[in-house]
Amino acid sequence: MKSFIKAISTYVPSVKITNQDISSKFPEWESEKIFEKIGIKERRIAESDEFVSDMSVKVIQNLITEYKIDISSIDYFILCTQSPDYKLPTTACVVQDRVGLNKSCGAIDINQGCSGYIYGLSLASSLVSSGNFKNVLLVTADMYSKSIHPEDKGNISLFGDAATATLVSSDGEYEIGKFTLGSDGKGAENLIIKNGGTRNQNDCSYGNLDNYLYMNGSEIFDFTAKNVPILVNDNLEQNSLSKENIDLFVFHQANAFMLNFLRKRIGIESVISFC
Amino acid sequence: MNIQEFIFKFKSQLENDKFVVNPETDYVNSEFWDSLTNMVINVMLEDDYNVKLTQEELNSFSSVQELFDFVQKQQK
Repeated sequence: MKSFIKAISTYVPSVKITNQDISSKFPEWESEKIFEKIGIKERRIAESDEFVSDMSVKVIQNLITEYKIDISSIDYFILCTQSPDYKLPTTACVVQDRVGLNKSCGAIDINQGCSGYIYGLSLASSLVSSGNFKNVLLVTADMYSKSIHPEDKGNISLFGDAATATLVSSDGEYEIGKFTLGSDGKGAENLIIKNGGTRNQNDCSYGNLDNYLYMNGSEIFDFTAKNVPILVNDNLEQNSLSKENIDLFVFHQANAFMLNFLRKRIGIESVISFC
Repeated sequence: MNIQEFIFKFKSQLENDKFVVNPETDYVNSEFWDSLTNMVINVMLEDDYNVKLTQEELNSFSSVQELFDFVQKQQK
């Protein structure tokens, strides 16, 4: 059975962090240089009392309003997040109640970061293709701002908070193709919040960097440089397409420099990024 | 391999072509050099010359010529 993307909506929080804000706090970084390198003028982050469930409710309400969707038609809800409200219960269940999804609607959280939209879409598409579900709602919502150290100018520059809602259905205009996924746990230490799970407690100490998001930029870059071009080619092959058939490549990458590097390396004309 | 070809590849990794690069260029102290540029040059060295350096090692050469000489030695 085929599956289709029927509707997509987005939500971004209201707090703005401009390059000028970053440059004022960290004078060693010029705002023009930040823009030149990453191609972003401002990023949005959540209010201190705003959480993933709140962003999820807002983005679902946006989807319903913008596309006049009957919420009772949704029979499965997937929330992809790495910053859930609680360790348990599942944030998707909290959202189910707050937004008014049917009690007969399945609701789960999945934990993925950069690759979360694609992972979520692959699950939503497969649930529809199985014939068991007709309308699967996929929400991706994250707020790394709450896990970034206030002095970590690199991650402050690169990460913003946002949510998306996508309705995947058994009918529609935009058919979903085949997926190419992968995993490599060897790099676990290169992008990690060490404390706060069951292995290490978060001691709430400002000086303990293990309480905060850590990213080894050069290792992530190296991984991306080596793996993304292969992934793109594999996926094109799996869908019997060539680069020439594609009007637009969309990468999840918050860095214009990196996008340009990938574009040259893969041998494509232009790219657009959503992060 | 020759240094012209090496410089051509080096330059093609930079953000724009306004930068002048020649054998004497002290790239580490150049306007275009930063940690991101370091990473792309490193990937180029690995891809095209099979030379894997750390960020610190790549920052230790005083000119393009010196880097070229090092890479050339690794080819033998």
